[in-house]
Amino acid sequence: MIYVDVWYKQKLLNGQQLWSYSSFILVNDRGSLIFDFSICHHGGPQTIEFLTKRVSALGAVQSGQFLVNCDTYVSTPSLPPQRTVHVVHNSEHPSSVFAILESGQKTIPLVADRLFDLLMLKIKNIYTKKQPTIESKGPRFELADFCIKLGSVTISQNFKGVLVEVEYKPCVVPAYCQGLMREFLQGFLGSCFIKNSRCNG
Amino acid sequence: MCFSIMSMESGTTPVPLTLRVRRACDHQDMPFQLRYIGVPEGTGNNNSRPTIVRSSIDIGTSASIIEFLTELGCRVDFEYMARGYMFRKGRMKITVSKIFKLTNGKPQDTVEPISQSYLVELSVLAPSGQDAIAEDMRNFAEQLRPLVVLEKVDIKRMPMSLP
Repeated sequence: MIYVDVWYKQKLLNGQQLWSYSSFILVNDRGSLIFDFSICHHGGPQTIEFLTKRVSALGAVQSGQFLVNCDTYVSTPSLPPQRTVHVVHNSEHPSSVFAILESGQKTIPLVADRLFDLLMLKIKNIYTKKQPTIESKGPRFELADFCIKLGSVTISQNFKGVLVEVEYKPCVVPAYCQGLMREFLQGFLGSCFIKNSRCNG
Repeated sequence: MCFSIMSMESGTTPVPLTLRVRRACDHQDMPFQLRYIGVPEGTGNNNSRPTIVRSSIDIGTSASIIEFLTELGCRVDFEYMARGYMFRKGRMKITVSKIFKLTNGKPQDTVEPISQSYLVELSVLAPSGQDAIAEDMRNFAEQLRPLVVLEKVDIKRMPMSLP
C-alpha cells in the first residue's frame, strides 16, 4: 500500500516530466507498476470522458468517485537539516493517513489514523505547510476483479495531468500480474504509446 | 518510549512537545500507538482541580513510527516497559503495573523491575470540558487509601531519573 502512496507523492510532486503525458498506474496492496502514456486527446476533461467511454464499453460499472490529495510540510530552518513530510489522504482508505518523511537520503513511510492530521497541526511551528495541496480525483469503476480510477490531477484548481490507476485485486505481487494487466490496459487504452515501466514492491 | 521535540515560536523560549510511542509486547501484531500529551491545564498555586488535566491525541500507527519520529527531529527522553493489570470502572481506567528498565529497546538480561512497588495509575479519556468525572476519580482514589496513595502529582517537579 505504501508504495502506491510513495508513487503518488513522486508523481504528484515531481510531476514536471509527467505532465506532458498522461500516466497510468497498476496497483495492489504490495506494490505498483507505473507507466506513462500519451493519448491523442487534448485537455483533461476530454481525456477522462474518452477513457470513461472506453472503460464503460468493456462493461465496467461506475462506483462513485475517488480522491487522493497530498499536503507537504517543510521543517523550519531552526531544525537543520531540512526535512520534508508529505501527507497523503486516499478515499480508498478513508480512515488512514499515509505520510512520507524525506530526510537526506532516507525516505520513511508511515501509515497512521486520521488523527495524524491533528498532530501535524500541533507541530506547525516546526513543520510549516507548503501551499498548495495537490490532488487527483475522478470517477472510480469496477469490472470483475479490476478496479479502475480515472483521475484528473490539479494543483490549486489548475489542471496538470491525468492519472489512470488500475488495481487487480486478487494478486498482491505486481510482477506476477504485469502481463495480465498490460493486456487489460490495452483493452481500453488501445494502441497508446507505453514507456517508462517501473515496478515497486 | 517518550520523545520530545522543541517547538519554536518566534520571540518565545522553545517549549518541548512530548510524544509517546507505546506497543503491546504480548501482541506484536497490533499497531503501535502514538500519543501527543499537552501541558497540564490550569497549573499554578490556585489550581483547584482534583486531577491533572492534559489534552491528548491518540493515533494508531505502523511500526515505522520510531524511525519516523527520530528522523523528524525528535529525541528519545526515556523508555520503559510496564507489566501488570488493567481494570475498568465505568470510564475510568486503572492500571497496576511494575516498571522495567529497557536498554536499546530490549529488556536487560536480568529482568528486574525498577522497584518492587506497583505503580497505580488512574485515568480517564474524556472530551474536553468534561471536568465532572474528576470528582469521581478523587472519590475512587479515596477508596484505595491507605494501601495506595493516589494523588495528583506535579509532573514538572518530578525527578527525571530515579535515584
